[in-house]
Amino acid sequence: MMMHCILEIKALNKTYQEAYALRDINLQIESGDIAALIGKNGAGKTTLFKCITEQVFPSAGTISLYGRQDDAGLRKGRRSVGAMIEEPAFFPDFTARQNLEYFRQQRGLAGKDSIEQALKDVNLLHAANKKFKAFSLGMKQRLGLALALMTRPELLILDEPTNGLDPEGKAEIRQLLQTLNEEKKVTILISSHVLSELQSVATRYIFMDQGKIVEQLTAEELLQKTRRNVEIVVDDSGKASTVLEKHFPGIPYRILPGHRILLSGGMDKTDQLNRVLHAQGVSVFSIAATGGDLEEYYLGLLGGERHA
Amino acid sequence: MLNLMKSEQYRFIRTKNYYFYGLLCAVLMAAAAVTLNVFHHSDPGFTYGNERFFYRNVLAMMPVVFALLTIFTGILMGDHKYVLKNTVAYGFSRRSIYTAKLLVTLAGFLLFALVLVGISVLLGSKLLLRSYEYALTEYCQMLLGMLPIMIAGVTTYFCINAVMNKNAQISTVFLLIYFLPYMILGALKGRYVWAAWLHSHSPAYYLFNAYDVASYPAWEPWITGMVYTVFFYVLGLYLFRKEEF
Repeated sequence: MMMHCILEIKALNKTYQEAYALRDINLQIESGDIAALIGKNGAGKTTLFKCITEQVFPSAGTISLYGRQDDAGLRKGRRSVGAMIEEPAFFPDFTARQNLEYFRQQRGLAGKDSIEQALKDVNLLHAANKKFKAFSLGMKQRLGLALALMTRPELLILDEPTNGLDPEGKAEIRQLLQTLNEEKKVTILISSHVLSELQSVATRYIFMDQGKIVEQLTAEELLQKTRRNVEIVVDDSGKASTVLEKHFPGIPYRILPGHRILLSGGMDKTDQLNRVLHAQGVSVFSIAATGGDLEEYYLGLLGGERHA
Repeated sequence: MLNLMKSEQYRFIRTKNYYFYGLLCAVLMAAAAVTLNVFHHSDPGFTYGNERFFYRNVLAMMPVVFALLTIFTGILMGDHKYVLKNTVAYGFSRRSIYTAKLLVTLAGFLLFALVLVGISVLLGSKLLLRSYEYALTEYCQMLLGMLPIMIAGVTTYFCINAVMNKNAQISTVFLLIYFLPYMILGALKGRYVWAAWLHSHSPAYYLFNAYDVASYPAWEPWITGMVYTVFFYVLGLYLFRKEEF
């Protein structure tokens, strides 16, 4: 698939009185990306999302959607964007279905199938006729996501989408996002405080601090920067451990279930390890560097508290 | 913009308070008509059990009706301005959103007013004595004169709503805009000619004199109403275009 830039932000600033909420943001999102925005509370993630969707006005800089940065072009571009930013906002006395019907009419979507499909996608059909004010936080999040999905967007902007969801719900949403990305080629810009969750879906990471982007990495680059271990899968882990102790006494290791051995180090010796194990009669099925812990990297880069 | 209006219409026809408020107004009018009817039949000396008196009393209530407009407009607009962030994020311009909501609210108001006027005419003609042949014509003419002032009221409420969130605050500012200058100008009208002129051309003046057809030419409230409507529409739009969510 040919990648093209669908969102480009140049020198974006947003100030509130004298204080910078965003400072010199430069960002490109390619089609097919799942870009994770990572930062502490107040880093500027939500403000950036709001600028993209015009909920707030940038103080300086340009935003371009699908190659257009004029008002009319941006508005047209936003018709292909599904967004859920901060708490989902709906009419409290309307049911989930009525709320979606309101927005379906507003957006001129033909047929009511889009409502049913969106409710089904987020597993909320059972509560379709329940009033929004009676919803739990997790259900509100699901309805917010249903609205974002209803128009079959090409770009999804999700601010803490799994906030308030139970572990099962989080897994469902994660699976849904992956499916949308892989099967429907939906590009996703997402923020979450649960970094392990982001790591399992993201293809790019954007680290923000105090309104600035401090680093951008692809998933591969993150792996390169953080890998520390070598995992070897062999036919006989007992025999392999004897070889390791004899030939690589300086590398600590652990034997894991499934004939796996995890070496703490030896990143630069994978070829040698492979050769020696083979020479000593151990069949090596795979040998690879592992690691890439996003949370550890984030803490190293920006500091902050570890999240569960 | 048509889609925006369609969705707003979908919302307000499902707003229960809209109907409750209409029902309350109808019940109050019915209570007044029934009371006049009962007194008319029980006391031969009671001279107020007629259509004209009833209509004039409805018209005399115009300042109250105008003040109650804040409740009505609040009901139609809803205090859920934050929901608009979804609409903005989808690429609708703030101008379209503001104008569409205003038009639908005005349409809702006109429908509401039409139904209530119909009920008042029905009550007057069925329950009360027709003592004056042109009572109904006069009533309709005077109500028509109030229409631009009411439209200006709805537009003003919208304008204030663009910068304030709480209904109580909006209502207070709304009433201050319309009634405070009227009172100040009333106190000054004996001293200054311009104050007297402004006083007799302010919306509140027409509201307080709605039942007195001879006190102003019929076209005057239209001009005043249009000036207020245009001013507050433009101001509201300007403020709303700067609104962040």
